[in-house]
Order: sequence, then C-alpha cells, then structure tokens
Amino acid sequence: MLGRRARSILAVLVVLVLVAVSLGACAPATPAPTPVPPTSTPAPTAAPSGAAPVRLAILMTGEITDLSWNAQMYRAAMEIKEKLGIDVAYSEQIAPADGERVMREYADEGYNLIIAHSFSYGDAVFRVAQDYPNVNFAWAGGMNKTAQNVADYDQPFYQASYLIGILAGGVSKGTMNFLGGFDIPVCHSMAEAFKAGARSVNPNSTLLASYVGDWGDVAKAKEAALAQIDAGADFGIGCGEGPTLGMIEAAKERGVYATGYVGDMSEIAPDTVLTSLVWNLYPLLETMVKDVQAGAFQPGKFYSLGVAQGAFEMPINPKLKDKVPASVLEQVEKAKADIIAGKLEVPYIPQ
Amino acid sequence: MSWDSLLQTAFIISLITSGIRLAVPVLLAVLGEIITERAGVQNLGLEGIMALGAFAGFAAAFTTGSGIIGLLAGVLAGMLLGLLMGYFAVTLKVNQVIAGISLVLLGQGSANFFYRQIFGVSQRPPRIAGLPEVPIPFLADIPYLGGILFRHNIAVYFTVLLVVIVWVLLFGTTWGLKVRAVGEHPSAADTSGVDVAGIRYACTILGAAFAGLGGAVLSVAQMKLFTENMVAGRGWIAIALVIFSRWHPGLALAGAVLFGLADALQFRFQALGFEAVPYEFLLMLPYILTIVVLLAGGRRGAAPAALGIPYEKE
Repeated sequence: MLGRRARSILAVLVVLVLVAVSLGACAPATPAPTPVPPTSTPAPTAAPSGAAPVRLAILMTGEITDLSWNAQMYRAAMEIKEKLGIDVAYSEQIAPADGERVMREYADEGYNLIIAHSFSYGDAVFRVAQDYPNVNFAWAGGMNKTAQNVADYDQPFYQASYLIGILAGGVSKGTMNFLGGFDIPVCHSMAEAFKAGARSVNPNSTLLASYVGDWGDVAKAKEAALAQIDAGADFGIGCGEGPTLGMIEAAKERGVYATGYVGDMSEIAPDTVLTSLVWNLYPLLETMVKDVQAGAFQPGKFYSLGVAQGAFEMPINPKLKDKVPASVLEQVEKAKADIIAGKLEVPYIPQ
Repeated sequence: MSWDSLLQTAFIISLITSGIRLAVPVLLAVLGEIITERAGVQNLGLEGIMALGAFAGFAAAFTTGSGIIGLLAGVLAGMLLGLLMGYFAVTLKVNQVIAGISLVLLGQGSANFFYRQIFGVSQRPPRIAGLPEVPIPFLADIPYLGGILFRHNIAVYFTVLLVVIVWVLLFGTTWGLKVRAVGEHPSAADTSGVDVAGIRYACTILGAAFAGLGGAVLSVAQMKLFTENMVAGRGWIAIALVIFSRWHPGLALAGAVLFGLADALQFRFQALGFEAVPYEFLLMLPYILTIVVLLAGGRRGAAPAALGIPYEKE
C-alpha cells in the first residue's frame, strides 16, 4: 500500500507522462527535433560506393531553433544529409555534463564522425575519444587543441565582423554599438575587429560595447541596445542571436541600423537591418566528411574556415543598398579580396 | 565617462523609462503569486507559465493581428496551467514544490514544442505588430514626468492599475479577507464557512493568469516576437520578489521597479564605458540588491502561515 505522499507524486508523474505521450503522438515524422536518447534518421540514399560510409552525429548544447550557432549547424547537417546521402543524427540541449554519455552512445551505435558542437564539450570529447580510437571526433574549441582522432574547428566571426566594420564606418556618423551575450573570445574578437574595420574608414569613430549577461534574454538585450543608441550609436552589430534580435528591435524603434547575425535577418526589419553576418557551416562539414571518406581525418587537424574559404557572407539588404556610398562598398570588396588573396590579415584580439 | 552625463535629464528619463519596461513582466508575475500565496498555495511554476503565456500571446497575436487578443491568450494559457496547479495542490494535495517545478518543465517544453510545430525552425522569426506606444493626452506633455510615466504601451498602464486592484482586492474586500484567512488558518476559515478549496483554486488560477499575462507582455508588447528561453529566469526572480515584497502589492511595485532600475542603470554604465568597474560586476548588481534586501527584510513572519501546506478536513 502506497503512502499518501507517494500516491500524490505518482499522480503527478502519471499526468506528466500522459501529457508527454500525447504531445509525442501528434508530432509529425519530419524533421524530428530529437531529444535524448539519440535516434537516427535513415539516409535517403546510400553512401558513394568505394568510400567508407560516414555516419555523422552532432551534439548541441542549445536548441536548433536558436537562429544562430545551433540552427546553422542543423541547417548544414540537413544539407549534407541531402547532398551526400549520409546518415545524420543529432541531439540538442545536451548539457556539457551529459556530453560524455551521449557521445559514448553514438560511438557504440556505430557513428564514426561525432561533432561536439560546443567549446564546453572539450573535456568530454577527449576522454571519450581515447576509448574509441576508430571513431572520429571534432569539437568547437577554436584553439587548435587536437588529438589523434579529435579535430578542432574555429569560428572566425571576427573576419566577417571586420568587413562589416568597414561598411558601418562608412555609413555611421561616428558612434557604433556592439552587444554580446558574454565577453567570450568569439564575441570580444568580433568587437575588436569591427572597431578596427570602422577605424580604417573613419579614424575618429568610437564603438560602445556592452554585454547582456544572457544569450536568450531578448527583452534585456533590447534595453541594453536602447541604452547604447540613447548614448549616440547609430549602427550596431550583435554577438549571439538573443543580443542581436534585441538590438534589431531597439534599432527599429529608434530608426538606426543593425546587423543580422549568422543568418540573413534583413526580412525581420527591412528598414533597419542593413546587412547580416552569415555563417555557413556546410563547407566545414563537407571537408570533414570527405576527409573521413578518404581516410585522411586522422591525425586530427585544426579546421579553420573563414572569409577566404567562403564560410562567411555579408549580403546587403537590397532595400537599403542606396544608403551605402559606392566608395564604401568598394572598400569592403577590396578588403575581402585582400583577405582571400592573403594580403590582409584581420587582427584577432580574443580578450 | 564623466559623472555629469549621469545627471542630465535625457539620461535620467531614458533610465527610468527603461527601468519601468524591465519591471512590468516580472511585476505581473509577482502580483499573481502574491494572490496565490496569500491563499496558502505556493506555485513555483511561474517560469513555465510565463513561457507558455509568451508563446500563446505571440501565436494569437500572429493569427489575429491583434495585440490585445494576444495578451488575452496569454492570460488564458496561464489560467490553464493554474487550473492544473490547483488540481495538484488542492485536489491531489501533492508536494507543491514538486508540482511547481514540473509545471516549469511542462510550460517551457510545450511552449517550445508548439512554437516549432506551428512556426517551424526558421532563420527568420515571424513578427507581429504588437502594441503601440500610447501617450496619454495632456499628461504626456508634462515636462520630464510626462516622458517617464505617460509614454508607454497600454500593458504598462494596465499593470499599474492591477497593483491597485490587487491591493484593494486583498485588503479592502470580504473576499480578500477570506483569501488571507485561508492562507493563515484554513481550518478556522473552514469552520466559519469559507470554501477553502474553492478559494485556493480561484487564487491559483488567478495568480497563474497574471504570470501568463506577464509572459505575453514580453513577447507581444515588448519584443513582437517569440524566442525559446525569452522568459530567461523572470519567473524565479518573481518568486524572490514575492518574499521581498512581504506578500504586499505595493512593495511588489517598489521591488520590481527597483530591480528594473538596477538593470537599466548597469546597461547605461556599460554603454557609456564605465571602465572602472568590470561589466560582470554591473550584471550582478540587481541580484546582489535582491540578496541584500532579502537579508535585511528577513521573513519576520510575513509569510502566510499555511503557505505550501495542503489542507486536510478533519
């Protein structure tokens, strides 16, 4: 006989399970947002004959709807599944502490390329990799820390941020704003490169840089951006989708310009978003998959795909194109060509 | 940065209006939780209720094109979860901490789930028109004060009105007396013919409605979009502010505005390049403030005596 308290707790659990089951029942088959335990989606076509069949698994700390870091990885993963016909599985919202367990599960299930798409999986990925020498791992360290079967890849947002800084320097009256979630190397280097780009056009320009202290709190981000705009800023760039969405909303209210982050966000606010920093992860995934197929993944490399490798684009919002002087556009194009040709190296200042 | 810039009127006006905007969603949740806790039910599910309110508000505003209908949908979503909480706490008499936390998970999970089902995984979040700023005629033109107090969207005015309504309801009506009796001494209230279960259900549903509205204000009135995690801990801060306010709507208003002002001030310090203090410290400011006030205020018996204890008829 159960006690009253145990009965009540049981009742709560039963109701929650019922709700969860009924929510699950009405879920469509594609594309299934996959919680733990990881499940795989079968490949539409077989892998190219002759090459080792690649089975790709991706771990993410956040949600695939985050419009940013994880959404871009998800998009690139779906693209590679379609184009190369390989088996792709993913798990989202895996806390760093659970990363090791999920990676082991994937490795045991026969996935041979496991991407731990967060800096915070660093400890886990090296521990698991030791026990699975035949499985290839990659992590978003961005610091050239590799092992025999662990590759590292970076996210040189700062390179694209420099180009957008040139654009901003040419359009702004002289005060620009930067808003990040936290002062981490990716964000800090973006701000510094943006400032350097702007100063290459307008040496007297200033950049107001703030951090929200949260990646998801769009309402706070908006208030932080309003504070910057009220202090005179008229062209902003964000680091993180939450800070960026908040900044765009603030810029829209005050009639100044903002930059889209990771995806082309010009449709959100056509009179506000002058350009976007678009990160395309497909070239990275394709390079890694082809390395695995060719048996060239090990020893683990440091994959660094930036502006020169086509991993970044910065589409100008067609509606606002006439706000950008032709000479400024030329300067942006010239800097981009110089980066591709190796004549210009954007300064990397992580802290 | 010079100290002069802190004393300019433009800076002060922008600071206070920002503080008010930051305060409103949290304040709504605090007011609701005060009603619920005054009746003896502790609903820790505010974070989840606000998330579902934010989603429901956004979805309804997106479908109908009306911000007001959006806010109403947030209220409705809150009531739904409030009903569930009432069932757990009053009918099943379960441990309210566990029920509340499961409500957080349910609210957040279902908000994210339905958002993905309806709007998909997109790089471009859909937008809605939201609520316009409504300057109150004449009053908005008062120098300084007009800009601070009378140039907001209607959700802000309505929230201030709700502070007064809750205050009167709890401390000026017979119903409020019954609510407080049920929260302090349910068996005594029961003996004198008060419907304990009914009052507790009503207060739990009403309280959750407020939290749902708070969530909808975030998505509909302030951001005009929905993102996962947009509530970002406001539900938990609200629970701390209930203690801070000593279960009183007037102090809740003061606490929420103080909290909002602290945030607004630290963002302005950052924007103006106040480099003497690291930004991490400025970000801590509102939380340190809460801890200090909680320590200073203490409990001192302000909590309803029967808070969190299920009522068993003898």
